[in-house]
Amino acid sequence: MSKNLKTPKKGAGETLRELYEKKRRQSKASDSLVEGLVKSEVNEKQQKRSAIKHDMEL
Amino acid sequence: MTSGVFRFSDILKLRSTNQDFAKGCIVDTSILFAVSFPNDAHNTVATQLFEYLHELDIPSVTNVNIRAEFIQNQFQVLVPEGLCDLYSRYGKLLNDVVCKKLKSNYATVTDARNNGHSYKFTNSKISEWRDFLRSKSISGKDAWFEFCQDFISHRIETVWDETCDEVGLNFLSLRGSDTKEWMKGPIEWKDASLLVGNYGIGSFDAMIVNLFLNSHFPILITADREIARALRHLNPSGKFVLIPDKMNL
Repeated sequence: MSKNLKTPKKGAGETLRELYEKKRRQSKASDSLVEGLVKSEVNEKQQKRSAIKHDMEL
Repeated sequence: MTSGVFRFSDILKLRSTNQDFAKGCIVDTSILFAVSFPNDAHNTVATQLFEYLHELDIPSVTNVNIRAEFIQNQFQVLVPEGLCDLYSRYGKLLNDVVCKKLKSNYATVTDARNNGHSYKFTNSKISEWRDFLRSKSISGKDAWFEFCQDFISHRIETVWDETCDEVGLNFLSLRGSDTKEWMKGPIEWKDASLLVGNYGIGSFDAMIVNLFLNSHFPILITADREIARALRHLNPSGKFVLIPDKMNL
């Protein structure tokens, strides 16, 4: 049965560790994600100010 | 030694007296995940295990259930890891609320790593972050989708194939023409349900145990205590369960 089956490569665990680190280094946030997470607070404050202004006008 | 629960290091001794071992072993999700994820508590022993299998020329097999659970486990660790990367690279740029929440996650993940564990998000924790990031979305962009595409996608899409390739995994199809070669009989859902009912294990675990019991493979390798306990109780003839040397049962 085993004639047709593959067996583990030597140093498989080490290679997988290297691949893990390589992939991790490739992570990069898109400009729009960073921009969103920076500006969302500004937007929230603007929305709150607008809501307060709106309430006062009423 | 004709059956039972043994330790990884016993495989050298067992192989010399069991010619059947050449047929191969079923490697469960806990072990495949451990060898693929360096921060897992069992990474070192799983790495050593595959060296044994290489030296002893013992093939390892897997199936669709194990693959599904493997991908799910990867997702549960890659979300907190990705959030750590987002914090360590961009934390200073982000607004205070986002930065504070990311910093808290970073501290938890770092603490787990320092204690030799992987940190997995629960489904509710994933939902919490999904909702939080979506609440920060601007200009019609979904910040959760963007985070996943930037920090998860490139890591999760290839990890299964890379793991299979490195550890020489053989995919066991239950519908292929060679099924008879591997299986004693058909896999029945009711048998898996019975395992869930009798042993209180999850359905993924029950399907792995059911596959093992109905296959011709003499070995199951696992770091899952409940799978090992259920099989110790079932004590099937001619079947060997291998667990990490230092794992308590």
